[in-house]
Amino acid sequence: MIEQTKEYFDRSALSEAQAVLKNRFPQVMSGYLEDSGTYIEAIENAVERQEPRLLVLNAHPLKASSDAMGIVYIAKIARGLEHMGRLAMDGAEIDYPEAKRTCVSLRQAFTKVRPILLAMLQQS
Amino acid sequence: MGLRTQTGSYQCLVVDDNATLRAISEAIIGDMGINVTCVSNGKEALTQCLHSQYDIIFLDIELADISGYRVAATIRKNRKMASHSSKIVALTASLYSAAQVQKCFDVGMNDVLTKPLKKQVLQKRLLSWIKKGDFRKEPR
Repeated sequence: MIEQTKEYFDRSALSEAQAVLKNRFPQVMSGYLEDSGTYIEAIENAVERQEPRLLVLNAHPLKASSDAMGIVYIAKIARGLEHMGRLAMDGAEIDYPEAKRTCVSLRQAFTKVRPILLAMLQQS
Repeated sequence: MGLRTQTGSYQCLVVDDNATLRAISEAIIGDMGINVTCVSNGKEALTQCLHSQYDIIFLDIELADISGYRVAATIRKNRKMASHSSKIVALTASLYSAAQVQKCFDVGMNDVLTKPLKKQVLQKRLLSWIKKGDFRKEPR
């Protein structure tokens, strides 16, 4: 299944996380999925309320943990949102319609990768 | 002498508010034979550093409650802290600028690493710190 959506994953990073975490991998991956859902919801709220600080606070850890677990597509979208938030904190204006479209892409990407990762956990 | 033998008596504190990254850091550092304690915020980190003497502190600089810069500065300023002289290594998930790195050193941190920690990078860095004599040589 990962093969069909390979642009979403960095297989070597995913394998490295599995090798490092060993028997804790399923627990950490489950935690990652749960936390990511929370971060995405908070990002959507931050964009809706036009609060750049909240956007950065939630996009930053989503980016970092997604990178660490090899879920690079989500990391890439989160990185873009974090960047928008940081620019806004420095006084630039956010293109909120664009940020909302990015949030939709983020939600769609998560909806796509979540069942794949859950299936992987069930197999392990 | 293997790295595990050399690091077996080291005490390490990992400070990161992201549970996934904390687990990865803990696994990598623990796998090197180092005793790891993990906390999820700056306040807990300061409490730990007040009472326990760590050899190395891996400190996320973007903590939600108190920034890593402030945590490091507080540890360095307060001589009553058991970890006042510990090696402090900044962890960052962002591409950092020269100014950010300088800020880490200005507040008393000793090194900067990017997150997520990579096993080979950390092993290399640990060996270089040991070689430079950055840690106590006698096991506790």
